Formats: sequence, C-alpha cells, structure tokens
Amino acid sequence: MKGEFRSESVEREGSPPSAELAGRVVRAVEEALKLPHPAPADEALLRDVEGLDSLLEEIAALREFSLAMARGELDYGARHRGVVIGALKGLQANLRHLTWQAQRIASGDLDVRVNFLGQFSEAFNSMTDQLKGTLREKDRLAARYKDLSDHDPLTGLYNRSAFQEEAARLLTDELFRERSSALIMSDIDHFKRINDSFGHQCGDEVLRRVSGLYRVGLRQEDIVCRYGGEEFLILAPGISAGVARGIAQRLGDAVREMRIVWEGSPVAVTASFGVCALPPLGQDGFTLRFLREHVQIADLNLYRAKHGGRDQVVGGDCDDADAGAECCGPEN
Amino acid sequence: MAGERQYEFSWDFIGDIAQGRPNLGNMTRIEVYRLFQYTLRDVLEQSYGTEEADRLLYRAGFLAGTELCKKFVGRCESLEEFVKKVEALLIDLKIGVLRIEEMQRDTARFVLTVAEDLDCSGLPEAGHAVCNYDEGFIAGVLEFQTGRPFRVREVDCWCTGDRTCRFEAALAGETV
Repeated sequence: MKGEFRSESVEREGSPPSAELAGRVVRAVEEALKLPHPAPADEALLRDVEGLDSLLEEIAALREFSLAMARGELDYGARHRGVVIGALKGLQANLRHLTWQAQRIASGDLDVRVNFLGQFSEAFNSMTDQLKGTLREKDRLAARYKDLSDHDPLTGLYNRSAFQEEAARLLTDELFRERSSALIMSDIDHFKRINDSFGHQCGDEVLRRVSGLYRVGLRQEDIVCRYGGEEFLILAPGISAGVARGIAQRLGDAVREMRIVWEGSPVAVTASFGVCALPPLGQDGFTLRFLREHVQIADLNLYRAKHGGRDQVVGGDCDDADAGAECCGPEN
Repeated sequence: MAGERQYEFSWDFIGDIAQGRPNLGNMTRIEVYRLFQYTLRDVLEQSYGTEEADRLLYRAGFLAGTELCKKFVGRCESLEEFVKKVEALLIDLKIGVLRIEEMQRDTARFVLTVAEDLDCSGLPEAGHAVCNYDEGFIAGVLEFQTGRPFRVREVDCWCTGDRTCRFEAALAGETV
C-alpha cells in the first residue's frame, strides 16, 4: 500500500534500527509540513523508504496550494487529490462562487443569496439586503425629487421642461407619431386685476381651481403644464385642431361657470384660448424647434383671442390637420 | 431499435404520488436512491463495460436535466435568471447545492460545483470521479436554456477525495 515502509529493506546489516529510521522519517515529514523552506529528504537512508518521496511530494503540493489560497490565488489549479487537498478545494470553490456572486451584485442583481457558508452567508446576505434597502430608498427619493422638479408646486401641473419631455415621449409614441395632434394655449383673462382686487392668495386659488378644471376636463393621454404665470399649455395627441377647438371651448365654458367666492365676494373668471394643429412628425422626428414653432402659433392665436375680446377660442376652425400651422396660423 | 418502445420518458412514469402513496408520501431516503443507481450501474457495467455504462448514465442524466428544466424552470430571459432558478430548484428538491464559479459568455465555458451531491457525497475515495449522471444532467440543463450542445466533464469529485464536485462545461466539439 502507498506510504507503507519496507522494513526488511532498511534492517539490513549496518543500517540503523527501525526506531531511528522512523524518527528520521517523522522529522522529514514534520519539516515538510512546518518549515518555510524544508530541505529535500535526500539522505541515502530515507531514499529506501518506499512511498516517502510521493508523500513528501503531496505535502509539497498541499503547501503550495495552501500558500496560493492564502495569497488569494483562486484560479490555482491543484492537481493532487485526497481529503485535505479536497477540503481546501472546497474552500476554493466557495470563494470562487462568492466572487461570482459579488460580480452578480456589481452587475445590479441584488437578489443573489449565499447558502451553506455559515456566518459568512448570514453576513453576506445581510449586506445585500442592506444594499437593496439603501437602493430602494435612493430610488424612492430620486422619484420624489423628479416629481418635485417636474411639477409646479402651486398647481401640481407639469412645468415647462417636464412638458417638453412628455411631449417628446407622446409624439414619438407609435400610437401617435403618424397622426395629427393639437396644441392649446390658454391664459386666464385679467389675472392681474384679480390679484390686485382680491390679493395674491385669491390669485393662487384661481390658478389652482383652473388647473383642476383642465386636469379633469382633458383625456388621460392629454398633458397640460403651467407654461408661465397664468398661462397653460395643453398637448392633445392624436386629434385634429378642430376637435381641440371643441375641447378648448368646453374648458372655457367650465372656467366661466366656475364659482369662486373670496372673502364673501364672487370672483368672475374667464379664460382665452389659442389652438394650433401639430402635423405628424416628419423625417427629423421630434425636435424642440418643431414644438416651439407650433407653440408660437398657438400663442399668436391666443393673442388674437385676447384682442378679440377675451373669453373665446381662436384657431382650429379649419379641420385640415395636414395643413398644420398654416390652417391655424395668425394669418388665417 | 426493434419494436415499439415502452419506456420513452414521460412524466406519467412519475405517477400520481399523492394517490399512490397516501401514507408514505413522496419522500424516500438517499440510500434508496443510491441503491437504485449503483445496482443499475453494476448491471450496466457488467453488460456493457465501464465506459459504455458511464456513457449511458450521462445520457440518462442529460434527459433528466432537460425534462426537469422543461417541467419546473422553463426558458428564462437571461442566463443569470435561469441559473438562479436552477440553483433554487436543486436545493428545493435536495439534489445538491449548485454554485457557479465562472461563466465566460463569449466562449460559453462554465465552471460550477455541486456540493452535497445526491450521487456521490459521502462515498469512499475511489481514485476516479463517478458523477457521470450529473455531467449529463448539467449538459441537459445548459442546452435547455441556451439551445446549444454542451459537453460536461467532472474534474473533482467526492470520490477523488474532494469535498465538492466540480464540473467544467464547454460547447460540444470544444475542449472541456
């Protein structure tokens, strides 16, 4: 059997007794296990011990593997087999698996779990749980800040930059990109007069109430923003300017019929509207310039509505959506 | 093959365990599983020789890996998600603790270990690996998700004195 000493070969005449030889073998093995640089067992006497060379070679392999593991060389390939090296390979396998798990976390997968590694598993899993919780909180805060940065604090409507982002998303959506849409620009009539007569708090209340009316008076896919002081901009995707004109008239009716009483006095509120058709997106796709040009036309129509006596809608009387801006431009 | 086959695998062979074993249930001991595998292996080896017996076990494992994934895992969007599901399934069914050590996407090479393996953990050292069934099983699992044929080789085994079984997998035709 491997490692068995051939006593008959060493008990020849003139050779040391077995006990002495056994002692030398033990010392050689001990040195191989304990000394940093063991001397090779090249005594002539030891050469006759069958299996000692291969035993020392295995110990040397074990030393190298242990040292490689201590240095963190996880790719070290141990060729020898057996329980002790096998146990070290088990540790190596665990560490390599942990490396893989850590790489998974680095790639954003926080659902990885380590099992059967005792306290380390608990600590590792607790770490990923904590990380997950922290990222969830970060996402929640990011969403909250995004919400704050996208919305007007007084009315809760989109602000201008968020409106642009949403408009880009809507107009490039496959549902709407090949269809005409419409813009409606609205302004509360004589808003300065309301502020001067009833105070700014009343003005704020009027803005909130009008915003509320616009929000409930529009379709789910329409978007509205507070464009400036008392100005609102609406994008109604997938409908003609003529239909948008009808929507604007209904919103105007709702504003006129709204009842606001401020400190015992009724506050009369009306709004004016300018409508503009948005043609389907061309080859260039959505550009801010495209949006700005059409907002400008809606704004000019709003200007005409103001000069025409307020509380009215201008634009959208031609229902040829393909005609776009020309149809609803100020020259019409 | 002459004549009509009688035992082409189907989940019908697993049967309605709740109905069939109302008192004993669906659990048995590992000894029984190993008794079945190693007596079958004994007879296969006697009949066909060691190499062919190993190949037959590999093929059976391949079929098992494929069928198990078909029934309990399904194809996943990503390999990572698939691996996670297979890991969970193998623990759930107490087959073993699968751990990925390395996944090279570009060359489709994998190194993985199975600890507490159903087939070999606790067996005496034999000087050679014995998990041919597992090799085939892993090949079946990988092919199920990727649609590409894999060759799997066990490089460390409880029976070679190691304490976890380590497998290397590569696309069939390439060196494992």
